[in-house]
Amino acid sequence: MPYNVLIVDDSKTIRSIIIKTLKLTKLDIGEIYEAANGKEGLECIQNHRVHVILSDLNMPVMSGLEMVSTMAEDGILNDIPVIVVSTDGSTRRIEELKRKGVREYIRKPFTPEGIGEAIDRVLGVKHE
Amino acid sequence: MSENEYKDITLRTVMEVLEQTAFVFPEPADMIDGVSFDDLKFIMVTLGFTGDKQGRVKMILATDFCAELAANLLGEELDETLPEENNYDSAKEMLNIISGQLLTRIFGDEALFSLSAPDVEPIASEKLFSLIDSADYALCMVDEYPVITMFALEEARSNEHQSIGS
Repeated sequence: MPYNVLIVDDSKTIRSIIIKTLKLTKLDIGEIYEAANGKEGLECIQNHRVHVILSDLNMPVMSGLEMVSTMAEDGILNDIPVIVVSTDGSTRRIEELKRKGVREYIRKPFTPEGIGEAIDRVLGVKHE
Repeated sequence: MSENEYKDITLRTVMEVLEQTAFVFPEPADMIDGVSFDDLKFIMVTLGFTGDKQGRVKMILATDFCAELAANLLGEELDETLPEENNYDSAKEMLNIISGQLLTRIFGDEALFSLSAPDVEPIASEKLFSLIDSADYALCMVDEYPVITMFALEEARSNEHQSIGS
């Protein structure tokens, strides 16, 4: 089954890099949607079927953490797992994100393997 | 941590991140080796951080190198027809990644920081030389392009700038 992915990042460059990286993984990727902040991300998941979200933390308008909190309040965080992709390497930050319901954390710079394995884990994908 | 140790960590971090993300191979350099700034235009990218410590990371890059950086990051051919501003996003993201790595390497995994969105401004030669005369910096070369990085802590109360290691 192809997986639809939403990328939430205010940097067009990073969104483009993640799209290219996704195409290098073994994953069966369907649609790839892009959003420049958490608000746009929330609008996207209202209008499209999204299986997994890759999100930055620091963004204008609405941060990644605010988006995750809204998703938790709306009861959709269990249905659409969020993987945070960020420069922040603090273990305290990662623990806070996990407590808020973020399923995986990928630190920049990332590799196709890192992205692929994180998506596999949150979606329970098994490769033959 | 001594001034030289801060500088070494900054230089190593910049070189590793450039290698890993942009697939370029920087070499450490020294101004006394006669680095040429002729015929190059430069921008300065600045990122502030607050949290367990506060300060700024600045990176000075040639605009021509920003174009190469953008092309390499995106895995595309160099497109010299694109407006320079299009390439600045890559420089900002590069500094963002460098700063995240640098803060962890200097202050450890437990330290907590918030990073500001990076700002970009063109920098004239006079200001560039005045900056490198007055502050510590790490310098590396990617081919003919100098990459200058400055890491500075600031006093939380007085807001005075404090050079690395001082």
